[in-house]
Amino acid sequence: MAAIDLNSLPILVSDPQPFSASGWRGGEGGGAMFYQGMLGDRWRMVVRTREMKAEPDCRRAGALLDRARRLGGYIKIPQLDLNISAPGLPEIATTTSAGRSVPITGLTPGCPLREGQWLSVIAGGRRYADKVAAQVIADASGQADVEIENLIRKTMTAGDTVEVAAPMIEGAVEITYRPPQVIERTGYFEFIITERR
Amino acid sequence: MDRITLATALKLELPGHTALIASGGQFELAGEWYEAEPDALVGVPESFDAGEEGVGDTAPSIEITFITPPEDEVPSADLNTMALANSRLRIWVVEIDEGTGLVVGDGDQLCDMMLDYPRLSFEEDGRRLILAFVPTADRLFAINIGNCLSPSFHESIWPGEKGLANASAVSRSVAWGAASAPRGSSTGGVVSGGGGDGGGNQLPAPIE
Repeated sequence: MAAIDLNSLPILVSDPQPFSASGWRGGEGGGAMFYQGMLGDRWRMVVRTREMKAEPDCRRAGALLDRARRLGGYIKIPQLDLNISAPGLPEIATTTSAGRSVPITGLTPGCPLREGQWLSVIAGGRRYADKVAAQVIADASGQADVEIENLIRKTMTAGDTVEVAAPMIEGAVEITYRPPQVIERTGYFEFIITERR
Repeated sequence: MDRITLATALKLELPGHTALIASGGQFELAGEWYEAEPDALVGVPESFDAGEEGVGDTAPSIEITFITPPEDEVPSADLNTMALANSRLRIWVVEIDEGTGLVVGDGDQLCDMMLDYPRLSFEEDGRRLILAFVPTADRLFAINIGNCLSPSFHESIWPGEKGLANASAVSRSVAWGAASAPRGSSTGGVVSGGGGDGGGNQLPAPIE
């Protein structure tokens, strides 16, 4: 079953965060520290919707989120005030299954991918989001090798769509707050989307 | 060394199906491809118990709990079967190159075990498959005390003769004061004995 499109929900707050088992380890009592990375580092995003009317908005949002809780969901990662320009129709240039460099083609020549900007790749029918680690500008043929923050988690096949204009995060949905019925007849939802791998 | 990136590879060789599961991401190890995806048969490893160390004549053992695929994809009868017994399990910890994402070297093998017995557990939030493993070296504990009066041995001579099949609770008599009977492995499923503890035998062996 396909993941549920949650883009109809009005986002008030979004907070993308690393979802990671990696970290600095150190001995007790002042021992030296070192960084232990664990393969599989990925992202999750905490979302809070705007205040909505109980009927019909909260009812519909609740139904959508309950379905997403079961089937998974995806939603756009907001990038406030970032000028994404017109990225073209980016896709994966060559099949890649390891490392941090994502070969992209189909970009508008000269289109910049800025440090910290989000992109997502649809590989095997599922989105994998990541952040650009260092700014790169597409060359005259619309190609760019983009360095991303995390190691590649899923094989990206040549021709897979890269979402630059509207990057999305897709994964398991956990509803952390749902509005009770109150006399004001308004409410909001909070939920977390965690990438599955 | 101030940075290291690690992953774990689990290879479970079941009859007709090999599960290759990575703890995260994906990588190639010894020519085989490991991915952090639910396995089609056993699903996702949820937890590993701390394991029991082998002491004296008791073999080490570990249990791994899997969250299984739905019942309509994998019926319980396919999981809760002794046909899975003796399946080989190997686990490696591998170091990953931070830049290339490739495995450095061959990884460190943590264990080489065989499936003792499977069991299913039905929790509120789904079905679990609990697999108990003992070391492959457990076979070295097996003792051959000759042909004994058991249903399987009896039927090996007389196929279909079920005369002993319903014999239950047949205890094995050990003369008082003799060396104790082998205790077997801690998980109990595999017949694997030891030499007995030999302690506390203050009295002479009985006259035969």
